[in-house]
This record gives sequence, C-alpha cells and structure tokens, in this order.
Amino acid sequence: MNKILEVKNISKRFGNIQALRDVSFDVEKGEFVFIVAHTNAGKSTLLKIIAGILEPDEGEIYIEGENITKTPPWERPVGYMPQTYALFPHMTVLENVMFGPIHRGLDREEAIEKAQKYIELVGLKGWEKAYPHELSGGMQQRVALARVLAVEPKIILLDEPLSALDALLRVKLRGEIKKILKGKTVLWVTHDQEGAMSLADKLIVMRSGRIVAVGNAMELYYKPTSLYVAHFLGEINFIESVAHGGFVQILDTKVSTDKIGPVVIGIRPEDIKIVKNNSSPLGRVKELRFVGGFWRLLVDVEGIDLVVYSLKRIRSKEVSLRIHPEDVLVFDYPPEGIRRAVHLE
Amino acid sequence: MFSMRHWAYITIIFTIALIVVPSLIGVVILLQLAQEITTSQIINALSSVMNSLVVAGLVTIINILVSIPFAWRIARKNDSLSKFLDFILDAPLFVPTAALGFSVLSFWSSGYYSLNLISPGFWLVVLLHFTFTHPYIVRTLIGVIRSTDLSVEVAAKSFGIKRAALSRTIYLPMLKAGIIAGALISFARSISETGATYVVAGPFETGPVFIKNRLSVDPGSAAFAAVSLLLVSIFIFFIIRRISRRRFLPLHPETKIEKMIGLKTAFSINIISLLFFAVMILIPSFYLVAYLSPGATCDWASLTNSLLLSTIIALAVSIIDLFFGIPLAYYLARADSLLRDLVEALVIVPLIVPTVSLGTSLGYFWGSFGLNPVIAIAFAHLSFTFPIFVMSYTAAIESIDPELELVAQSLGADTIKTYREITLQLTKSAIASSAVLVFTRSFGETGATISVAEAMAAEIYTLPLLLVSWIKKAQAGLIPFSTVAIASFITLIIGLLMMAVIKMAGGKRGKYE
Ligand SMILES: Nc1ncnc2c1ncn2[C@@H]1O[C@H](COP(=O)(O)OP(=O)(O)OP(=O)(O)O)[C@@H](O)[C@H]1O
Ligand SMILES: [Mg+2]
Repeated sequence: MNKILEVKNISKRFGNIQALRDVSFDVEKGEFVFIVAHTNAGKSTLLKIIAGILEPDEGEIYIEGENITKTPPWERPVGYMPQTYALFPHMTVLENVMFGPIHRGLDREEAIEKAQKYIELVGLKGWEKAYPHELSGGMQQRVALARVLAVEPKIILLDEPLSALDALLRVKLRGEIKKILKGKTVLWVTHDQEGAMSLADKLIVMRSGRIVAVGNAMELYYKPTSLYVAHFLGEINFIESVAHGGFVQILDTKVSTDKIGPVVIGIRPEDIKIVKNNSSPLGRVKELRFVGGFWRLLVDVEGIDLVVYSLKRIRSKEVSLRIHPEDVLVFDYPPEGIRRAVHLE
Repeated sequence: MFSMRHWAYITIIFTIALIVVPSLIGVVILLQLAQEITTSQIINALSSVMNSLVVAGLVTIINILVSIPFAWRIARKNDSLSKFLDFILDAPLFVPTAALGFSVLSFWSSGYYSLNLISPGFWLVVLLHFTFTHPYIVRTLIGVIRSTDLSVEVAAKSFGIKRAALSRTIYLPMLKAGIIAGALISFARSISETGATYVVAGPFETGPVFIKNRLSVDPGSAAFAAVSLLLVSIFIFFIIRRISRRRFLPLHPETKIEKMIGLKTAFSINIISLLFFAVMILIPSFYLVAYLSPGATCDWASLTNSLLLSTIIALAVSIIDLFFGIPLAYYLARADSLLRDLVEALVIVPLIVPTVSLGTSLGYFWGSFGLNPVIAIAFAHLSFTFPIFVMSYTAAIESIDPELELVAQSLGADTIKTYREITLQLTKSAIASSAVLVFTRSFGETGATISVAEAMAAEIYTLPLLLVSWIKKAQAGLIPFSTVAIASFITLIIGLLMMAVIKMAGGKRGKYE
C-alpha cells in the first residue's frame, strides 16, 4: 500500500448547512479517483479542505502519512484546480503557469523552463504571451491544468474541470486530460456519472455531504450497494415486490434471494432483452424514443411499466421480454419509500 | 509568520485608537453638554435631523441614477472626452466647502450675473449637495468598473443578451459593491456637511446647520441633534448593509421594455448624465470664477503658504490612510464574522459625525494632550478621510473573485505575496481613485478644520480657511471679490495637476483591459 492522501473523518458546517459529514477515504499513488455527487453535495468544499483554503470543523488530512491539517495551503504538496479555473487575468499564459514554480522556490530561469514544459504538454505552445481573455474556454482550461501541473504536486485536485465546456469538447478533452495526467495521482470531482465511470480507477459516490459508496466503477454499476447508488449511476427500473420462500419473481423470471418480505427489484434497461419467443411475457409498447445510438421504450407488462433499451428500431406494438436472473438486483424495501431513498438532494 | 491577517489586526487597533475612539469621545463630550432639554427643543432638533435625512436620501438616489452611465462611459470608453472627464471629475472637491457654498449660491440665487432661480432653502441645499457628493459615487464606481473582469460581459453578450437586460443581469450586480459603497459615502457626506450648507440654507436647517447655530447659545439642543443624527445614520447604514448582502436584481429573461430600450436611449442617457455633470455640478462649483477680472491680484505670500500647508497635510493624511487603510479594506472585504461587521460600523462613525461637532470635539480631545494644532488638524482629517478610503477600496476588493487569491495561495504564495501579486495588481486603479478622494477631501475640508482651530485657539490657515476668511472680507467690502476668484482659480489648477500625478502613479488601467 502506498497511500498518498488519507482523508479522515472530515466534517464541515456553514451556518445551518452541514456541507460534509464524517468523510473518510484514501487515494493511492498513481490512482485516478473520482468523486461523483449531485450539486451542493459538498464536493468543492471537500477539495478546498484538502487544498487547505478551507478549514475543516473536524477530522484530519494526511499526505504520505504526514498530518497536514494545520499546514497553510502554500506549503501543501497539493495542486488545486478550481471549478472556475481562476486564471489570473492580468498575467499572460506563461506568467500564470510560472506563478507556482516561482513561489515554490525556483528561480526565474528554472520557472520559465518548467512552465514551458507544461504549456507544451497541454498543447498550448505558441500561446505563452496571450492573456486569458484572449483564449477560448477549452484553452483556458488547459492553461489552468498546466498551471497546476507545473508545481509538480503529489496529488492533483480537479473540481469539475470540464463543466464549463460544451458537450463535444467535453468528451474530447476528457480523453486528453487522462493522457496528460497519465501516471499522476488525481482526485477528480464531478456530477457527471458517465464521464467518471469511463475514466475512474476508483469511484466515490457522495450524497449530501456523506460518502455512500466506494469501489470500482463497474462493480458499483452492476452490484450497487444501495437503491441510491443504483439510481445515481444510471437509469434503472425499480419494481416493488415481496420475497417468500427464498425467491422473488419478475415477469416469469424467478430470482433466489435470502431476503424475506417487502423488497425492491432493480433491473437496468439494457439488461431486459426483447425476444421473438412467444412463450415470454408480452408487453404493450407505450412510448418509443430515439436517444442517439439506441431506442428507449416504455413497455407495459402485466400492469408494470418497464424501461427497455433496444439497439434496433422496434416497429411492432407488442414485444416479448426476457430477464436473466443474474441481472436482477434485490434490495430491502426502504422504510422511507423508494422515491425518498433515491431523491437527489 | 507575518500575514495579511496580522497586518489587518494591527490596523484595526490603530483605527480604533486614533480614529474611532477620539470621535466617540467627542460625542460623549457633547452629551455632557446636554442638560435637561424641553420637548420643543427635542422636536426642533429631530426635525432638523429629519431634514438632513431627506436631503441625503434624495441626493444619493438621484446621484446613483446619473452616475452609473457617467462612470461607465469614463471607465470603459477610452476617448479624449473620457480622459477629460476623468481629469475634471474631482474638481468640485477642490473648492473649499465654504467657497463652494458661496459659489453655488452665486450661480443659482443671488450674485454676479446670477440666474436668480432658486432662493436659499431646501432646494438650494439639494443642489449644493449634488456638487460635492457626485464625485464620490462616480470615483468609487470607476474604480470598481476598472477592476471588473471584462470576460463576463463578453460571455454574456455571446449568449445573446441585449443591452438593457445585460445591465440588469450582468453589469448592475457586478457593480453592486461599488454602488453601495458610493451611496454610503455620498449619504454620509451629505448628512454631515456643514460649511457649505450653512451658506445656502437660508431659513432651512439641516442637522449640522442646526448644530452650528446652537453650539454656543444652546449646547443642549446641539448635542441632542448631533447624537440623534449619529444614531439614525448608523441605523440607516446598518439597514443598507443588510439589504445589500442580498442579490437585488433578479435573473429573469429579457423583458419587453428592455427589448425596446435600444442604443438610442443609452445614448441619450449618456447625454443627460453629461449635461447633469456640466450644469448641476461643474458650473455651479466654479461660478466664483465669474468674479475673475483682468488685473486681479491677491496676497500671494499667504496663498503660497496656505497652499503648501494644505498640500503637506493632504499628502501626509493620504499616505497614512493608504498604509493603514489597505489592510483594513482587505480584511473587511474578505472576512466574514461579527468582529468584521462591528469594525465596519465603527470605521464609518467619523464620517457621519457632522464636521463641526467632530472638529470641536477632536480639538478639545487632542488639545488636552497638548498636541500641535497642525498635527491635530491632520488627525481630524484622518478621521473623516480614513472611512472614505476604506469603504471605497473595500468595494474594489470585493469585486475581485476570491477564488483568484485562494488559487494563488494553493500554488505557493502566502497571503502577503498573494495580495501583492494578485489583488493589488488588479485593484491598482481603485487605489488611485480612492487616494484621489482622500486627498481632495483633506485638501478642501473647511468645517472640521475651522472647528479644531477655534477649539485650540490657533491661528492656522489651511487653504480653505484662507479662502473663507477672504470671502468674509470680500462680503464686508474690505477686498474685491476678484481676489477670492483668482485664489480659487489657482487652487483648482494646482489641485487638478496634483490629481493627474496621483492617477498616473496608480497606473490608469490594468494590463488586461
Ligand atoms: N463559503 C460558504 N458559505 C456558506 N455555505 C457554503 C459555502 N460554501 C459552500 N456552502 C454550502 O455548502 C454546500 C456544499 O457546497 P459545495 O460547493 O461544496 O457543493 P458542490 O458539491 O461542489 O456543488 P456544485 O456541484 O454546485 O459545485 C452547499 O449547500 C453550499 O451552499
Ligand atoms: Mg462545486
């Protein structure tokens, strides 16, 4: 184990708002860790506390085993890139990127050299003399990235680095950033689940200031630990049911379970197969929508509405559906009801 | 390690010890003067306070309306008209307030070729107050506008928001800090001005005029009025501060009216604010010059001495204001605590105390330490200029995104370096504007200076005091008015030149503009 960052029991309150509650997790050397959460979950607050520009009410931060909770931000080996980029408007690209190295003790020549290296790495060679307002959003984002890389921190904290960009650019830059950051230790915060799952070595899901799940992206998607996580990471059908005798039933599929009494069955829309077989249960297609690349159907089967994805266009009014038992998730019925259990605060 | 915070705390102690406490002790001295006063005295005192509030409120609101387009034009259009306006803008502040009152009176009411339009009283007081509050709002706004990042504007335009809606959703919220600070300074100036108001008030009594009239004959009433004025003002300041914390211009789509308001209207708004400046501010302030006649002369030696004295005092005061005011403004702009709100309320106090009572009490206070009268005058000037600097510069820092500072710290710069390389660089022009306000205020102040000199029984002639004494002599027919005119004219020219130097030193625009 080679832990770079350890966050231990961090809590933070702003007046009446409990922004963070008892948050703990680790980041290992070279790991790409994503924190995903809805808006106002406390993501930025957490990064600011790690960067040292906010003080936690409780808890500690360790970097390579050393407690830095009381260390001022300028002495922390941490690179923080804020949600707004916050490029210095009165400085050129080169001056922006040099700022860190100069203040971390390099002399001018070395700082310029280092800055140029990272400006080149992010693909902005030739733009050294430009001012931030002369650059496009995507370019500004790269300058911010170069600026944080140039201090060569032990861990890089990125606060929604892509949120200010349009959708196409976002996908393009997502891949590029991953390439630029290869081998570095990164903690990336976002509310974009898809982006996070495509890049993360480790995924941390937060809800209202609390960590609700930690794990590998695929694991959390297919074997979520709670209704909330299942719902948050992608579209899913929830069906109320009752388990007895070690089984629950969905359509004609029997799934074995150790739960007893009221349960919630979860099944992802892509795991419901449309088949030609007449023996499978028949459903009426209530809605059909093209969502780019595939079709999203709402099918009424025996009084239950199911969302189903299909790669092919469905022309008939009725379809037969089949569900494999291993794709079915079974959760205890939440005492507060399904709606509230998955509610995004 | 020494940080911005330590510096700010030292400043707070300085502020409280040298500025707030002496001013407050002055109020206590006044209170002791108040013997049992009758109901009718109370009613008279309160109605004068009421008059002050009405004048200050009216003047401030109209000022804001005409100042926003005016300041915007000067800050954002880089043509020769802007440069000229920027140069001439503070001119009314160079006319010593007593001379200003006389000049305004001559223009609107009774004087050489005068308009004979408005006789002394409420409306003339309002017109007078425009002249010396207008520069504060415009200066503060210019400082804030120049410190604001242009990219927001560009981004908003690229979303297709048109001009009028742009003002509501983008510009006005960006300028909020500046509008509030400018309004507060203007309000406070109007509430406390004595010297000029006295000249044009006729039978109308504002709070300070009431105090000046009663100070020797009925000190009880005067003290009661002074304290009421102070309390009411602090209360109003507090309310404005509270309200201003909220977002006050809602973000909703462009309205029909806004669609109709096009460039043409904006153009005519510009013309109106320019006309306002020329007719209501500039010409009345300098109407004294109409008395200028060929071959006019004056006592050059006295004039030079006074000019030198006033310059030295104003310079010393400005430097001390900057030195202590910068960290305090930084603290006020960035801290968020009860102590912060308390310090802010305390800093404003000396600005609201009517200058006559401030001067009298500070004269007694510093006199009791046997202080040199010139130094006592400088201290008095510190008390009412310091809040102006602090408020105006605080507004400029508030308009800088704190995230820039936090990122700088995270990149390795401690708080002092962050201030020096980020905040200071982005607010240079605001420091220059604020310094201009402070310098001119000290240079032209009459009411408090006269009171300090009288309280300490000292024969001191700062430039305004010299001009006032010459105006009195001229009114008594002892010397020709042309003497006053030429002295005012020279004061103005020298003042404007000094301002040009200060503004150049501040670097007019940031690199990125
Ligand atoms: N300085 C502050 N003062 C008061 N409340 C704050 C402050 N900073 C954050 N909060 C509150 O704390 C909560 C968490 O905020 P935070 O910015 O960390 O959320 P976030 O997850 O980053 O949200 P977003 O996705 O919108 O960026 C919010 O309710 C926010 O209003
Ligand atoms: Mg955030």
